Amino acid sequence: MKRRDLLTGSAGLALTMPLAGCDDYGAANMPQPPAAVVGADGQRRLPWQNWSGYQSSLPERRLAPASEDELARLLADSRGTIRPVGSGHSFTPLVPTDDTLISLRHFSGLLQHDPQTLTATVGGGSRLGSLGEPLHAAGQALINMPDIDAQTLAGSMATATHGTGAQLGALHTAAIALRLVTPTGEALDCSPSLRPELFAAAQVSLGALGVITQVTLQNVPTTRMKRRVWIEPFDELVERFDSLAAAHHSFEMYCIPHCDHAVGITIDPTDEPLQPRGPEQDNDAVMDLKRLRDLLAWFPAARRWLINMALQDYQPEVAVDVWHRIFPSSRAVRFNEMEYHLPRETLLPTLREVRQRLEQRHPGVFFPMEIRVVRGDDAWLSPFQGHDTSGSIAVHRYYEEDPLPLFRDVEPLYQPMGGRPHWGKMHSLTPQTLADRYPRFNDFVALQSRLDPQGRLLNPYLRTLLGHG
Amino acid sequence: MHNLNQFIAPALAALCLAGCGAGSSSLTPAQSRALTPADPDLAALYTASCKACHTVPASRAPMTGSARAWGVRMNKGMDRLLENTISGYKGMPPMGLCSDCSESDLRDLISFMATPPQPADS
Repeated sequence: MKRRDLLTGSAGLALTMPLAGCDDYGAANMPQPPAAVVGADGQRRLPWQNWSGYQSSLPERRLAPASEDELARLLADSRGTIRPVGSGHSFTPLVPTDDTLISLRHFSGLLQHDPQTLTATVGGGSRLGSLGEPLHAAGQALINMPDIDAQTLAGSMATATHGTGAQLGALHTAAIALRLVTPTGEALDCSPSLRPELFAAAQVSLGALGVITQVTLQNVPTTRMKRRVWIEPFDELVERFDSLAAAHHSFEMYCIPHCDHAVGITIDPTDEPLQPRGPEQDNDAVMDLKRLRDLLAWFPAARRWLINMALQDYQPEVAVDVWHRIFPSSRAVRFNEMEYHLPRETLLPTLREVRQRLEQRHPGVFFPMEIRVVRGDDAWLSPFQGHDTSGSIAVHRYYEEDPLPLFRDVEPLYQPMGGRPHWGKMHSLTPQTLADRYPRFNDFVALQSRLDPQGRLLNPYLRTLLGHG
Repeated sequence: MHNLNQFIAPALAALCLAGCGAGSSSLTPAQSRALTPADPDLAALYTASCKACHTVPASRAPMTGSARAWGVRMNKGMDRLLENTISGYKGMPPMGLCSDCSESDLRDLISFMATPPQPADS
């Protein structure tokens, strides 16, 4: 098909818009934030909401302690529930409280680095995206990064946030030491050799053990990376998934729903000349998929045909740049997300099931699914604990549309193989199930109770999640 | 996925209800990145929250200092911009991800970002 024919066909189909109906895809069911109220000081108390707007609360106090001493006093002396907040990128209600929110923005930046060992100590409140330039200037690179870099390091570690790569662990595995200020105001340094049990628990802590003010990272020499993006028939890319994951430093796949193609992305170290990434087009592409959904959800064959045709002569995109300009992408279209981590050998069969269910039962979904691999580790609450390599499947729903019908329908597919949810992404597992799937879950709960005997870091969600509810 | 826009977007342009070209600006990203509030406390808030998106065209956020991008928004009135900032609007997350900004901080941040850089000799 010629491009002009495709455009003509799209425009013709667009004329059928009145047939498309006015489905709001559950927008009317979406939770609303509490209304702002005027406090005793005459200022409005503003609602806190996460990035997608799905989670919210009306905190009485929003504090940003400027030093560890101030933070310790605040933790020890304040009343009610206290929750640390990073960038609000978690879709689970880890943060909401109507009492006190603590921002870590004063605990940010590169604090010190060692050129011999390639280690760097950074503030826990550092946004990942803010670490690229100073680390590069110091001759260092993060071992890996997620494709969103707005999160804080402490928040990323608390939820076991990860990138992709069969030999690359989640962000918390790059930590070789950290400092935790506990709810009683005590500052505890820990590492694999100093308080090792605390370290293994604090690497992925849900923000329930205290506030992580600084982290020492084991980095690698700074380098250029080459990023290649291409489109391939879904079945062929799935067939090649294992070999691509084994051959490349970093490999991931986006499965575009309601079409026959998928996107492959590899990232590898290179010495090739700079070839910066072009203008970001992912956000426009996602909104185009939405517009096609709006027009043609009732006519899936036409929708599939149009997307397939549009992708037919896609030319692979190649970029070479410094690592911190290669890993992250702009995500300007908001969404809610569910991601499960699975034993690697179950990844691809499960992906086929998820794709089939999504396409058969959820014509309203237009966001691509993201499929990644992550090296295993030993942190107590790491979803990758005990795995050699994990496989991850993420499904997304546009932020203005009810995500629960999709998530509730897909989540059972991850249970037979003991799937573990991303801690920052929506799921419905009970503490009993979590205890079955995490060998150290009960140890974590016991440690949490010892460090926080009054449960002041526990909001209602965490109380329930940890079995205190 | 990237090229989907090139193929389908023109055909659907008439149906596009979303504001497009939000980040269009005569400022370069480097010029936008160089702007910082004079007040150190406001600068700290700006650097920690707003700057990551409002100096990057790919984010679709209006670029800091762009009279063209901010003019149409400021015409809606500060109160409307403030409520959009608090609640989130399209790609803009609630509070711009500033968890400890007050209402007056947000007003000051909006005013700063909407103000074009002054000529060096003025």
